[in-house]
Amino acid sequence: MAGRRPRVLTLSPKESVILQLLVRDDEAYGLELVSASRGRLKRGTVYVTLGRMEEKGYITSRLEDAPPEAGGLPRRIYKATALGRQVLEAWSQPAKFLIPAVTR
Amino acid sequence: MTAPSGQLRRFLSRHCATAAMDHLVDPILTDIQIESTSAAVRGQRWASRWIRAAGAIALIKALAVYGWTRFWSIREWSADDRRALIRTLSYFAAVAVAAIPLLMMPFLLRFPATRAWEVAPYLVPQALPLALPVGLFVGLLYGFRARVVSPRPRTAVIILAVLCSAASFASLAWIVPVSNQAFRVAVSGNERIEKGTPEMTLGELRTRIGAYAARGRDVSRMALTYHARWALAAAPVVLTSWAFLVVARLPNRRLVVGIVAIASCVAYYSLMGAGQFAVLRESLPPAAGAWLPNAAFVAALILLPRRTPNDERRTAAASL
Repeated sequence: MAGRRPRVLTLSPKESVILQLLVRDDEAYGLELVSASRGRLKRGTVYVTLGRMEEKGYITSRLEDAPPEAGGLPRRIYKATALGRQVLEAWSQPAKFLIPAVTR
Repeated sequence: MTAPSGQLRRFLSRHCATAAMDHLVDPILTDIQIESTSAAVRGQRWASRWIRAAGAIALIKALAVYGWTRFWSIREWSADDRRALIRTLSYFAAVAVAAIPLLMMPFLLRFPATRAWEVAPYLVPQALPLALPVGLFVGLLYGFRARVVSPRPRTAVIILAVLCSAASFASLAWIVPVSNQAFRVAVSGNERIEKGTPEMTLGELRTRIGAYAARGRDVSRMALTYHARWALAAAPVVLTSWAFLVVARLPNRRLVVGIVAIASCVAYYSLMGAGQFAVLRESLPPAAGAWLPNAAFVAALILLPRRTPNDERRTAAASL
Protein backbone atom coordinates (compact mmCIF):
# COMPACT_ATOMS: atom_id res chain seq x y z
CA MET A 1 0.00 0.00 0.00
CA ALA A 2 2.93 2.30 0.64
CA GLY A 3 5.00 4.10 -1.94
CA ARG A 4 2.75 6.25 -4.11
CA ARG A 5 3.48 9.89 -3.32
CA PRO A 6 0.90 12.52 -4.34
CA ARG A 7 2.08 15.23 -6.73
CA VAL A 8 0.66 17.91 -4.42
CA LEU A 9 1.01 17.27 -0.70
CA THR A 10 -2.53 17.72 0.55
CA LEU A 11 -3.81 17.33 4.09
CA SER A 12 -7.49 16.84 4.81
CA PRO A 13 -8.95 17.87 8.20
CA LYS A 14 -9.16 14.19 9.28
CA GLU A 15 -5.56 13.56 8.24
CA SER A 16 -4.53 16.64 10.16
CA VAL A 17 -6.24 15.35 13.32
CA ILE A 18 -4.55 11.96 12.97
CA LEU A 19 -1.13 13.54 12.44
CA GLN A 20 -1.59 15.84 15.44
CA LEU A 21 -2.47 12.85 17.63
CA LEU A 22 0.41 10.76 16.34
CA VAL A 23 2.88 13.61 16.80
CA ARG A 24 1.59 14.08 20.36
CA ASP A 25 1.41 10.39 21.37
CA ASP A 26 4.18 9.07 19.12
CA GLU A 27 2.30 5.80 18.33
CA ALA A 28 -1.32 4.71 18.39
CA TYR A 29 -3.68 2.10 16.97
CA GLY A 30 -6.94 2.84 15.13
CA LEU A 31 -9.46 2.78 17.97
CA GLU A 32 -7.03 4.65 20.23
CA LEU A 33 -7.00 7.47 17.70
CA VAL A 34 -10.81 7.45 17.55
CA SER A 35 -11.19 7.73 21.33
CA ALA A 36 -8.37 10.33 21.62
CA SER A 37 -9.95 12.50 18.89
CA ARG A 38 -13.06 13.26 21.01
CA GLY A 39 -15.52 12.61 18.21
CA ARG A 40 -13.53 14.16 15.38
CA LEU A 41 -12.66 10.72 13.97
CA LYS A 42 -15.17 7.91 13.36
CA ARG A 43 -14.57 4.18 13.58
CA GLY A 44 -15.87 3.61 10.05
CA THR A 45 -13.55 6.05 8.30
CA VAL A 46 -10.39 6.18 10.42
CA TYR A 47 -8.89 3.02 8.90
CA VAL A 48 -9.54 4.16 5.32
CA THR A 49 -7.89 7.51 6.16
CA LEU A 50 -4.95 5.74 7.81
CA GLY A 51 -4.49 3.57 4.71
CA ARG A 52 -4.55 6.63 2.46
CA MET A 53 -2.05 8.46 4.69
CA GLU A 54 0.25 5.46 4.58
CA GLU A 55 0.08 5.54 0.76
CA LYS A 56 0.97 9.22 0.84
CA GLY A 57 3.92 8.47 3.11
CA TYR A 58 2.65 10.61 6.00
CA ILE A 59 2.55 7.69 8.43
CA THR A 60 4.06 4.26 8.76
CA SER A 61 2.76 1.19 10.53
CA ARG A 62 4.10 -1.91 12.24
CA LEU A 63 2.48 -5.00 13.69
CA GLU A 64 2.52 -5.54 17.43
CA ASP A 65 1.54 -8.79 19.12
CA ALA A 66 -1.94 -8.72 20.61
CA PRO A 67 -2.31 -9.13 24.41
CA PRO A 68 -2.23 -12.85 25.32
CA GLU A 69 -5.83 -12.85 26.64
CA ALA A 70 -7.14 -11.39 23.37
CA GLY A 71 -5.36 -13.83 21.07
CA GLY A 72 -5.71 -13.63 17.30
CA LEU A 73 -3.95 -11.31 14.86
CA PRO A 74 -1.24 -8.82 15.77
CA ARG A 75 -2.36 -5.22 16.18
CA ARG A 76 -1.35 -2.54 13.66
CA ILE A 77 0.30 0.49 15.30
CA TYR A 78 0.69 3.75 13.41
CA LYS A 79 3.42 6.39 13.66
CA ALA A 80 3.97 9.74 11.90
CA THR A 81 6.88 9.86 9.43
CA ALA A 82 9.25 12.80 8.98
CA LEU A 83 7.29 13.76 5.85
CA GLY A 84 4.03 13.63 7.82
CA ARG A 85 5.45 15.91 10.50
CA GLN A 86 6.72 18.35 7.84
CA VAL A 87 3.36 18.41 6.08
CA LEU A 88 1.55 18.98 9.36
CA GLU A 89 3.95 21.79 10.21
CA ALA A 90 3.60 23.35 6.76
CA TRP A 91 -0.19 23.21 6.89
CA SER A 92 -0.28 24.50 10.49
CA GLN A 93 1.83 27.60 9.76
CA PRO A 94 -0.82 29.51 7.76
CA ALA A 95 -3.40 28.62 10.41
CA LYS A 96 -1.12 29.93 13.18
CA PHE A 97 -0.48 33.09 11.20
CA LEU A 98 -4.08 33.71 10.16
CA ILE A 99 -5.87 32.56 13.32
CA PRO A 100 -3.70 33.38 16.35
CA ALA A 101 -6.41 32.00 18.66
CA VAL A 102 -5.68 28.49 17.37
CA THR A 103 -2.17 28.58 18.85
CA ARG A 104 -3.23 29.72 22.34
CA MET B 1 -9.51 -14.54 17.11
CA THR B 2 -13.00 -15.85 17.98
CA ALA B 3 -14.95 -18.16 15.69
CA PRO B 4 -17.26 -15.48 14.16
CA SER B 5 -14.33 -13.09 13.59
CA GLY B 6 -12.26 -15.91 12.11
CA GLN B 7 -15.07 -16.93 9.77
CA LEU B 8 -15.66 -13.31 8.76
CA ARG B 9 -11.94 -12.83 8.10
CA ARG B 10 -11.78 -16.00 5.99
CA PHE B 11 -14.83 -14.87 4.02
CA LEU B 12 -13.42 -11.37 3.42
CA SER B 13 -9.97 -12.68 2.51
CA ARG B 14 -11.58 -14.53 -0.41
CA HIS B 15 -13.11 -11.32 -1.76
CA CYS B 16 -10.72 -8.52 -0.76
CA ALA B 17 -7.26 -7.66 -2.09
CA THR B 18 -4.25 -8.35 0.15
CA ALA B 19 -3.68 -4.61 0.69
CA ALA B 20 -7.30 -4.19 1.85
CA MET B 21 -6.94 -7.15 4.21
CA ASP B 22 -3.64 -5.89 5.68
CA HIS B 23 -4.55 -2.24 6.10
CA LEU B 24 -8.31 -2.29 6.58
CA VAL B 25 -9.93 -5.58 7.54
CA ASP B 26 -7.24 -6.97 9.84
CA PRO B 27 -6.68 -3.74 11.84
CA ILE B 28 -10.43 -3.32 12.35
CA LEU B 29 -11.02 -6.95 13.36
CA THR B 30 -7.99 -6.93 15.65
CA ASP B 31 -8.97 -3.69 17.36
CA ILE B 32 -12.54 -4.93 17.86
CA GLN B 33 -11.26 -8.25 19.19
CA ILE B 34 -8.82 -6.72 21.67
CA GLU B 35 -11.19 -3.99 22.88
CA SER B 36 -14.15 -6.35 23.33
CA THR B 37 -12.01 -8.98 25.09
CA SER B 38 -10.61 -6.31 27.43
CA ALA B 39 -14.16 -5.17 28.25
CA ALA B 40 -15.25 -8.77 28.87
CA VAL B 41 -12.25 -9.38 31.15
CA ARG B 42 -13.24 -6.29 33.17
CA GLY B 43 -16.73 -7.83 33.53
CA GLN B 44 -18.38 -5.31 31.19
CA ARG B 45 -20.34 -7.78 29.09
CA TRP B 46 -22.67 -5.21 27.51
CA ALA B 47 -19.76 -2.91 26.70
CA SER B 48 -18.05 -5.86 25.03
CA ARG B 49 -21.15 -6.57 22.94
CA TRP B 50 -21.51 -2.89 22.03
CA ILE B 51 -17.88 -2.77 20.86
CA ARG B 52 -18.52 -5.77 18.60
CA ALA B 53 -21.73 -4.32 17.16
CA ALA B 54 -20.21 -0.87 16.58
CA GLY B 55 -17.12 -2.55 15.13
CA ALA B 56 -19.20 -4.58 12.68
CA ILE B 57 -20.93 -1.40 11.47
CA ALA B 58 -17.56 0.34 11.23
CA LEU B 59 -16.19 -2.55 9.17
CA ILE B 60 -19.10 -2.40 6.71
CA LYS B 61 -18.77 1.38 6.42
CA ALA B 62 -14.99 1.19 5.99
CA LEU B 63 -15.30 -1.46 3.26
CA ALA B 64 -17.95 0.59 1.47
CA VAL B 65 -15.85 3.77 1.60
CA TYR B 66 -12.68 1.89 0.61
CA GLY B 67 -14.39 0.07 -2.27
CA TRP B 68 -16.04 3.23 -3.56
CA THR B 69 -12.85 5.33 -3.47
CA ARG B 70 -10.77 2.54 -5.04
CA PHE B 71 -13.35 1.97 -7.75
CA TRP B 72 -13.42 5.60 -8.84
CA SER B 73 -9.67 6.15 -8.47
CA ILE B 74 -9.12 6.22 -12.24
CA ARG B 75 -5.36 6.72 -11.76
CA GLU B 76 -5.12 3.15 -10.49
CA TRP B 77 -6.92 1.69 -13.49
CA SER B 78 -4.84 -0.03 -16.16
CA ALA B 79 -4.35 1.78 -19.49
CA ASP B 80 -6.71 -0.69 -21.22
CA ASP B 81 -9.40 -0.16 -18.57
CA ARG B 82 -9.15 3.62 -18.90
CA ARG B 83 -9.21 3.52 -22.70
CA ALA B 84 -12.16 1.11 -22.73
CA LEU B 85 -14.23 3.37 -20.47
CA ILE B 86 -13.24 6.64 -22.18
CA ARG B 87 -13.94 5.24 -25.65
CA THR B 88 -17.27 3.79 -24.48
CA LEU B 89 -18.34 7.12 -23.00
CA SER B 90 -17.17 9.06 -26.07
CA TYR B 91 -19.01 6.80 -28.53
CA PHE B 92 -22.06 6.71 -26.25
CA ALA B 93 -22.25 10.50 -26.09
CA ALA B 94 -21.61 10.94 -29.83
CA VAL B 95 -24.14 8.31 -30.95
CA ALA B 96 -26.84 9.36 -28.47
CA VAL B 97 -26.48 13.04 -29.39
CA ALA B 98 -26.54 12.20 -33.12
CA ALA B 99 -29.51 9.82 -32.76
CA ILE B 100 -31.79 12.35 -31.04
CA PRO B 101 -32.18 14.74 -34.05
CA LEU B 102 -32.37 11.75 -36.41
CA LEU B 103 -35.27 10.30 -34.44
CA MET B 104 -36.98 13.69 -34.32
CA MET B 105 -36.50 14.35 -38.03
CA PRO B 106 -39.60 12.50 -39.37
CA PHE B 107 -41.85 14.66 -37.16
CA LEU B 108 -40.00 17.92 -37.75
CA LEU B 109 -40.04 17.55 -41.55
CA ARG B 110 -43.80 18.07 -41.45
CA PHE B 111 -43.29 21.69 -40.32
CA PRO B 112 -41.75 24.76 -41.92
CA ALA B 113 -38.19 25.39 -40.67
CA THR B 114 -39.04 28.20 -38.23
CA ARG B 115 -41.94 26.26 -36.74
CA ALA B 116 -39.80 23.09 -36.52
CA TRP B 117 -37.30 24.90 -34.27
CA GLU B 118 -40.14 25.96 -31.97
CA VAL B 119 -41.59 22.48 -31.50
CA ALA B 120 -38.30 20.52 -31.53
CA PRO B 121 -37.64 20.77 -27.74
CA TYR B 122 -40.96 18.99 -27.06
CA LEU B 123 -39.75 15.94 -29.00
CA VAL B 124 -36.40 15.53 -27.22
CA PRO B 125 -37.80 13.55 -24.22
CA GLN B 126 -39.46 11.12 -26.63
CA ALA B 127 -36.21 10.52 -28.53
CA LEU B 128 -34.12 10.08 -25.39
CA PRO B 129 -35.32 6.56 -24.36
CA LEU B 130 -34.55 5.33 -27.89
CA ALA B 131 -31.22 7.15 -28.28
CA LEU B 132 -29.72 6.16 -24.89
CA PRO B 133 -29.72 2.35 -25.32
CA VAL B 134 -28.45 2.61 -28.90
CA GLY B 135 -25.67 4.99 -27.84
CA LEU B 136 -24.66 2.78 -24.95
CA PHE B 137 -24.73 -0.36 -27.06
CA VAL B 138 -22.59 1.09 -29.85
CA GLY B 139 -20.26 2.77 -27.31
CA LEU B 140 -19.69 -0.49 -25.51
CA LEU B 141 -19.00 -2.46 -28.69
CA TYR B 142 -16.40 0.06 -29.89
CA GLY B 143 -14.97 0.79 -26.43
CA PHE B 144 -14.46 -2.77 -25.28
CA ARG B 145 -13.57 -4.47 -28.57
CA ALA B 146 -10.22 -6.32 -28.58
CA ARG B 147 -9.35 -5.24 -25.05
CA VAL B 148 -8.42 -7.17 -21.94
CA VAL B 149 -10.31 -5.31 -19.23
CA SER B 150 -10.83 -5.86 -15.52
CA PRO B 151 -14.28 -5.84 -13.88
CA ARG B 152 -13.91 -2.10 -13.06
CA PRO B 153 -14.88 -0.59 -16.45
CA ARG B 154 -17.53 -3.29 -16.83
CA THR B 155 -19.04 -2.29 -13.49
CA ALA B 156 -18.88 1.40 -14.47
CA VAL B 157 -20.76 0.64 -17.72
CA ILE B 158 -23.34 -1.46 -15.87
CA ILE B 159 -23.90 1.45 -13.44
CA LEU B 160 -24.25 3.77 -16.47
CA ALA B 161 -26.77 1.36 -18.04
CA VAL B 162 -28.84 1.30 -14.84
CA LEU B 163 -28.75 5.12 -14.70
CA CYS B 164 -29.83 5.28 -18.37
CA SER B 165 -32.70 2.89 -17.58
CA ALA B 166 -33.74 5.07 -14.65
CA ALA B 167 -33.55 8.22 -16.82
CA SER B 168 -35.55 6.49 -19.58
CA PHE B 169 -38.17 5.36 -17.11
CA ALA B 170 -38.52 8.86 -15.63
CA SER B 171 -38.79 10.28 -19.13
CA LEU B 172 -41.36 7.70 -20.33
CA ALA B 173 -43.42 7.78 -17.15
CA TRP B 174 -43.71 11.52 -16.55
CA ILE B 175 -41.72 13.76 -18.91
CA VAL B 176 -42.77 12.38 -22.33
CA PRO B 177 -46.54 12.65 -21.55
CA VAL B 178 -46.15 16.29 -20.50
CA SER B 179 -43.95 17.21 -23.47
CA ASN B 180 -46.28 15.34 -25.86
CA GLN B 181 -49.22 17.33 -24.60
CA ALA B 182 -47.24 20.57 -24.86
CA PHE B 183 -46.30 19.60 -28.43
CA ARG B 184 -49.97 19.03 -29.34
CA VAL B 185 -51.00 22.32 -27.77
CA ALA B 186 -48.20 24.15 -29.60
CA VAL B 187 -49.17 22.58 -32.95
CA SER B 188 -52.95 22.90 -32.62
CA GLY B 189 -53.06 26.19 -30.72
CA ASN B 190 -55.84 24.66 -28.59
CA GLU B 191 -54.86 24.71 -24.91
CA ARG B 192 -57.83 22.52 -23.94
CA ILE B 193 -57.00 19.69 -26.29
CA GLU B 194 -57.84 16.40 -24.58
CA LYS B 195 -55.02 14.04 -23.62
CA GLY B 196 -54.60 10.90 -25.71
CA THR B 197 -52.98 7.69 -24.46
CA PRO B 198 -49.39 8.84 -25.16
CA GLU B 199 -50.07 12.04 -23.21
CA MET B 200 -51.01 10.25 -20.00
CA THR B 201 -48.52 9.66 -17.22
CA LEU B 202 -48.02 6.09 -16.08
CA GLY B 203 -50.38 6.60 -13.12
CA GLU B 204 -53.09 8.19 -15.28
CA LEU B 205 -52.77 5.38 -17.80
CA ARG B 206 -53.13 2.72 -15.11
CA THR B 207 -56.24 4.42 -13.73
CA ARG B 208 -57.77 4.76 -17.22
CA ILE B 209 -57.06 1.09 -18.03
CA GLY B 210 -58.74 0.03 -14.77
CA ALA B 211 -61.77 2.22 -15.44
CA TYR B 212 -62.18 1.06 -19.05
CA ALA B 213 -61.65 -2.60 -18.16
CA ALA B 214 -64.34 -2.32 -15.46
CA ARG B 215 -66.76 -1.12 -18.16
CA GLY B 216 -65.79 -4.04 -20.40
CA ARG B 217 -64.07 -1.92 -23.04
CA ASP B 218 -61.05 -3.09 -25.05
CA VAL B 219 -57.92 -1.84 -23.31
CA SER B 220 -55.29 -3.76 -25.29
CA ARG B 221 -53.84 -0.64 -26.99
CA MET B 222 -53.63 1.27 -23.71
CA ALA B 223 -52.18 -1.75 -21.93
CA LEU B 224 -49.61 -2.11 -24.71
CA THR B 225 -48.54 1.53 -24.26
CA TYR B 226 -48.38 1.02 -20.50
CA HIS B 227 -46.20 -2.10 -20.69
CA ALA B 228 -44.10 -0.74 -23.57
CA ARG B 229 -42.98 2.15 -21.37
CA TRP B 230 -41.68 -0.25 -18.73
CA ALA B 231 -40.09 -2.49 -21.38
CA LEU B 232 -38.38 0.37 -23.21
CA ALA B 233 -36.97 1.66 -19.92
CA ALA B 234 -35.27 -1.72 -19.46
CA ALA B 235 -33.65 -1.54 -22.92
CA PRO B 236 -30.32 0.03 -21.79
CA VAL B 237 -29.69 -2.79 -19.31
CA VAL B 238 -30.77 -5.53 -21.75
CA LEU B 239 -28.75 -4.15 -24.67
CA THR B 240 -25.71 -3.58 -22.44
CA SER B 241 -25.82 -7.21 -21.29
CA TRP B 242 -26.16 -8.27 -24.91
CA ALA B 243 -23.23 -6.04 -25.90
CA PHE B 244 -20.99 -7.61 -23.23
CA LEU B 245 -21.77 -11.05 -24.67
CA VAL B 246 -21.32 -9.98 -28.29
CA VAL B 247 -18.11 -7.97 -27.82
CA ALA B 248 -16.32 -11.03 -26.46
CA ARG B 249 -16.95 -12.81 -29.78
CA LEU B 250 -16.18 -10.03 -32.24
CA PRO B 251 -13.06 -9.89 -34.40
CA ASN B 252 -11.05 -6.66 -34.11
CA ARG B 253 -12.57 -5.04 -37.20
CA ARG B 254 -14.45 -1.75 -37.14
CA LEU B 255 -16.68 -2.71 -40.05
CA VAL B 256 -17.78 -5.98 -38.44
CA VAL B 257 -18.45 -4.17 -35.14
CA GLY B 258 -20.50 -1.57 -37.01
CA ILE B 259 -22.54 -4.20 -38.83
CA VAL B 260 -23.19 -6.12 -35.61
CA ALA B 261 -24.19 -2.90 -33.83
CA ILE B 262 -26.65 -1.90 -36.56
CA ALA B 263 -28.02 -5.46 -36.91
CA SER B 264 -28.59 -5.79 -33.15
CA CYS B 265 -30.34 -2.41 -32.87
CA VAL B 266 -32.49 -3.12 -35.96
CA ALA B 267 -33.35 -6.57 -34.54
CA TYR B 268 -34.32 -5.06 -31.18
CA TYR B 269 -36.57 -2.37 -32.61
CA SER B 270 -38.01 -4.75 -35.24
CA LEU B 271 -38.98 -7.12 -32.45
CA MET B 272 -40.58 -4.17 -30.67
CA GLY B 273 -42.65 -3.45 -33.80
CA ALA B 274 -43.47 -7.13 -34.24
CA GLY B 275 -44.62 -7.37 -30.63
CA GLN B 276 -46.90 -4.35 -31.05
CA PHE B 277 -48.26 -5.75 -34.29
CA ALA B 278 -48.96 -9.10 -32.62
CA VAL B 279 -50.85 -7.36 -29.79
CA LEU B 280 -52.96 -5.36 -32.23
CA ARG B 281 -53.72 -8.62 -34.13
CA GLU B 282 -54.65 -10.12 -30.74
CA SER B 283 -52.01 -12.83 -31.19
CA LEU B 284 -50.19 -11.84 -27.99
CA PRO B 285 -51.29 -10.29 -24.70
CA PRO B 286 -50.12 -6.63 -24.29
CA ALA B 287 -47.44 -7.38 -21.69
CA ALA B 288 -45.93 -10.19 -23.80
CA GLY B 289 -45.93 -8.04 -26.92
CA ALA B 290 -44.30 -5.10 -25.15
CA TRP B 291 -41.61 -7.25 -23.55
CA LEU B 292 -40.95 -9.36 -26.67
CA PRO B 293 -37.60 -7.73 -27.66
CA ASN B 294 -36.26 -7.84 -24.08
CA ALA B 295 -37.40 -11.44 -23.67
CA ALA B 296 -35.83 -12.47 -26.99
CA PHE B 297 -32.48 -10.84 -26.16
CA VAL B 298 -32.43 -12.29 -22.62
CA ALA B 299 -33.23 -15.74 -24.08
CA ALA B 300 -30.32 -15.34 -26.52
CA LEU B 301 -28.09 -14.29 -23.60
CA ILE B 302 -29.01 -17.43 -21.71
CA LEU B 303 -28.74 -19.79 -24.66
CA LEU B 304 -25.43 -18.59 -26.10
CA PRO B 305 -22.38 -20.35 -24.59
CA ARG B 306 -20.38 -18.24 -22.12
CA ARG B 307 -16.80 -19.08 -23.14
CA THR B 308 -15.53 -17.77 -26.47
CA PRO B 309 -12.20 -17.77 -28.33
CA ASN B 310 -11.76 -14.14 -27.16
CA ASP B 311 -12.24 -15.27 -23.55
CA GLU B 312 -9.52 -17.89 -24.01
CA ARG B 313 -7.18 -15.20 -25.36
CA ARG B 314 -8.01 -12.92 -22.43
CA THR B 315 -7.38 -15.69 -19.91
CA ALA B 316 -4.04 -16.43 -21.55
CA ALA B 317 -3.09 -12.74 -21.56
CA ALA B 318 -4.12 -12.31 -17.93
CA SER B 319 -2.03 -15.30 -16.83
CA LEU B 320 1.14 -13.89 -18.47
